[in-house]
Amino acid sequence: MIELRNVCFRVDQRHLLANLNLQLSERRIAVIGANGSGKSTFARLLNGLLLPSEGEVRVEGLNTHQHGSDVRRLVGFVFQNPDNQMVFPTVAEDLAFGLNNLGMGKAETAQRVDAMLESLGLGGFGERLIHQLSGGEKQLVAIAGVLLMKPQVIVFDEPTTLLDLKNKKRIAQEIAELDQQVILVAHDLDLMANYDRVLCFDQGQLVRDGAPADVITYYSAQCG
Amino acid sequence: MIDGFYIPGHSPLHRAAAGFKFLALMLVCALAFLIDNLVFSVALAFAALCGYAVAGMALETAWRQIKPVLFFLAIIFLIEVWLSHWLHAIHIVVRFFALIIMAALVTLTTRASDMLDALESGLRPLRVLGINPAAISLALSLAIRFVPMMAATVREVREAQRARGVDKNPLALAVPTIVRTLKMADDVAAAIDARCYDARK
Repeated sequence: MIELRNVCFRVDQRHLLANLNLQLSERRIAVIGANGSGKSTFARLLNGLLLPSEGEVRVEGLNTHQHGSDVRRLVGFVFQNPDNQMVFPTVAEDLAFGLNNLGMGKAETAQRVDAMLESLGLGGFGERLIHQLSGGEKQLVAIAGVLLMKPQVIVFDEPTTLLDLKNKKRIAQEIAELDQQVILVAHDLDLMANYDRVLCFDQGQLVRDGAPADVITYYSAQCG
Repeated sequence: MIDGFYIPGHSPLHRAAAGFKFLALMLVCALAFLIDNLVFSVALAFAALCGYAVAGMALETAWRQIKPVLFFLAIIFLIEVWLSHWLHAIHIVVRFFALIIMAALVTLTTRASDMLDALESGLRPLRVLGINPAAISLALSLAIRFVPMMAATVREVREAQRARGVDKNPLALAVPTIVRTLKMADDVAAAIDARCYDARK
């Protein structure tokens, strides 16, 4: 479970998030809001990529201030632009990066990478150059890189924003089938119809928190 | 530049250890300058071209490696003709040709991760000087990975400028490219953190 207690996040005295008190335990949680509303800042607080200016974020009791690396093992993060998430030229090398950081040996790493690529329908992609993949394939590889590290929670920051409709559906399907707790930041309201809980942000404030039907109706009305 | 990346294969050159290939390349480079002989340089160039055949690659692949530097080789040739003698100029150009396609052959037959592992091992003794080989290795990996991305960024910015009627304005190209690159660097740093990278290891 992720818990936020009196969390504020400021940059140069400007409040990007103000006074958040939340317990996130549902299996599927979505986060919506206009651009600049604080959604991505909120997402980055959940695995310690950003640290709160005030208050604390705890994941399974671990404070992100003191236990950043342990928290990042528990909470995986998929970014909007997969190009910025991958650090090695080929698919297999990039997928091995996270496992190497966890201290896993070469043979086991190679075995797990192959198995993961097969399970995502990317068998034979190991030697492919990342910059030659399609947008959807890149996002799948980015998700694979996170899944390989076996996190308990995966935060997705607008994972379908840069994709075409076909790839959007494919990624949505993969996310829907995940066993892990998912926290999805998105503008695509269709993705979260069956979610357990939706949070709506506006100008750094949590303005609605509840079931999808209620929160999405509220947000749609706000957007006119 | 993108052609300089690893091409998968199962040849003896692909299977050879990255460290061994690096050392062999360094030795050949040293010999090429120590043995100041045109016949030796021609033999080196021939051996390098044979290396492409051994690696199962067409000569066209070797051509793609040398093509981007042909202009510089031509300049070197002209300077040497002017300063020295045409035969010496040919010798210098053949030597550079041999070394460039040989170095390219090493990168084409070696995975980036294997190269970086070898580099990391080679730099390990420098730990006593406070140098972190893993950090250097990651920096080089990022440099390799982001060459095509940087090229794409420049291309996109240039197209956007042209669409707005700006043509051949270095400042108009540089500013948005640098801003986008810095933003990308922030995202990449966050992504590396998110994947549990420990710079102190």
